[in-house]
Amino acid sequence: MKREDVLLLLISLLFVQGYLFRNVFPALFASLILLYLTYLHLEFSPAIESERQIARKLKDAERVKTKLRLKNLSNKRLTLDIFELLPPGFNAETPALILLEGEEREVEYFITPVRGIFKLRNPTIRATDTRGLYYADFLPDSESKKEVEVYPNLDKIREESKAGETLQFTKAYSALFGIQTLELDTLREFQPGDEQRHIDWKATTRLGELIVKEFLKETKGDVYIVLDAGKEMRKGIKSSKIDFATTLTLQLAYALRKSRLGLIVYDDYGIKRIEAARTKGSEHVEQIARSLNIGTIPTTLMGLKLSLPEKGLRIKEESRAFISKILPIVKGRRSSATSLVEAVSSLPATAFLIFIADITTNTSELIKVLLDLRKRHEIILLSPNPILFYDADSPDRETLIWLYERYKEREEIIKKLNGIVPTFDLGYSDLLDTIRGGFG
Amino acid sequence: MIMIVIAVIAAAVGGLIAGLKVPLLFLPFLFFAKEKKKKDIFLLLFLLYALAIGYEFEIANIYSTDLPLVLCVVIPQLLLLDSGLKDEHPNFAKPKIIVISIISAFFFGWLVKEVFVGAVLIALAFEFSGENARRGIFAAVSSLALLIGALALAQGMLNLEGGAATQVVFIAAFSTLTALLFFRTSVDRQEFGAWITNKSKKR
Repeated sequence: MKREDVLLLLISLLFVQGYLFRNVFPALFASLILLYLTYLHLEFSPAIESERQIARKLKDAERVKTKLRLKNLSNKRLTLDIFELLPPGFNAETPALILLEGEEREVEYFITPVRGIFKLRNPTIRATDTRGLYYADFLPDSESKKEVEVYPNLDKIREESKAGETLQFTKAYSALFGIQTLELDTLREFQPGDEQRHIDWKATTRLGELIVKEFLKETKGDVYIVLDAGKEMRKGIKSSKIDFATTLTLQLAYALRKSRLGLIVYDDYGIKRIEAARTKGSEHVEQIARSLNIGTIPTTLMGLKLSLPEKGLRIKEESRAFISKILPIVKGRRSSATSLVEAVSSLPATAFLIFIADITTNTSELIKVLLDLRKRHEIILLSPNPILFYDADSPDRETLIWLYERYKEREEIIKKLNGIVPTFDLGYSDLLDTIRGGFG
Repeated sequence: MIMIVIAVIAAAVGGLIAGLKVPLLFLPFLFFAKEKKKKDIFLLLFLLYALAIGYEFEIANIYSTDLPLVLCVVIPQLLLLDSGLKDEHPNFAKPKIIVISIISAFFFGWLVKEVFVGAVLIALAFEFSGENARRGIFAAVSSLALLIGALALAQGMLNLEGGAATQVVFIAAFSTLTALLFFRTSVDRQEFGAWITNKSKKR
């Protein structure tokens, strides 16, 4: 039922009432309402002109301001509702406004896009008369489409990479850092996330600030950190993945100082350093720290399986394959896969293994090694994600599309590896405190 | 909100002039519905109010009735309906002096009906001012003129003792036919009860 129908019903009822009750007044009243409706019906002829302004390059899941210039071409005041006809996954506000006769105004509202390249149509505008009885929809014409490119949002990718890892990491965390015992290890200042029941009230009263108890944790067997220090790990613009990996290794070493911890560092030339898991304690951690003196290779490339699209230099596929085979021999190095096999061959029969490695180079060899090792060892794989290390301020379109493709390719590898051992994609902020913070 | 206040006062005073109780009973609710911006509830209440007032106020013969009294009752209802439906724009604040003059004229009109009718007509003109209406005004005025002309022409046939039913049928038929002349254009109509189903927002 429409609002106008209510008035038409009233008119009919008044006529019937007048006839049945022999009363002319309802009929006169009904005639007057009918005249009023005729007036409104004839006077409703809205005309709207609209034009949208939106940036061509947008970021995934980031609210973007769109401007809509509206002009009321009719001689009546109109109430306008704006409805966006957007591709699936997009979200938009539905602003409403009143436009006076002949008025021109610019409306600003927000759209949240999703990844891809889309052609956005102008929104549908519903013009309603001031009495709210009639409306007219102004649909966008097919020529009004504007192309927008929605690029992956690096921040969102970082968040997505972290999501879903929590549960897996919780399992690995308890295995890695052990089960908490009742034996007191040390006292420290309260930090957000600490459990209330661990507060040492006596120490708190004495020192005047919140102090919590830290308990010793039990771990099973020896722990080995197997660190990839190959070329791919050492590439970087401002900071390389190896910088992050060494910091993380140190933090892990300190966290595991109560366990017997070993370290194996390998690169493209073979095993670089090896620290057997013989002793425990802070001195051993310092020894490990000395072993972690690994430099960065300054480069503009990131550690990804495929290089950036080349524009200038063109080499035939056969030549490229030949160079990739011959170059390591000329330079006196082997592939990192061979080094990896050599590195794991130095491991004891059983241990908890923490791999910190690049997963996009020699993936198949890495998978083979992990499949073999998981029969005897408990393993977790930590891999610094090169995309999360990308720190250019304003990447161009090609770079972003290329980054996104690499990101998707990497996701597939992560999925595959997760089927074998728990695998974690890490960014520059995922140092141990951050990771542990998630489990407090 | 000032126009609904004027309309409510006009309808109340008009009703009191004609000795009606229904306006006093319904007007607070109508005002409340308008204040809460519930157009559909306002329409529903107006439907009941119109039927009730049609039941209470009686005209047995249009040719022998007190025309100013009829206008005192009927014109404020139109003003009430329009101000109830129309969204007032804050930019169109009515000058206070005119508003006070109109309301004063209503109360003065309580004693002199013609003054009241004049004040209500001014208020009506005030309500429709600034709408730049041409076709609508032409249609409404010509339809009204045709109805009055037709009633005058058919006076000999309609002005009979107990001829109210015939007059009603004549008015109904004539008004409907005249309106049909202008209702040819197709317009999308707003949903009633959108506040329940929110249909008007659906695409």
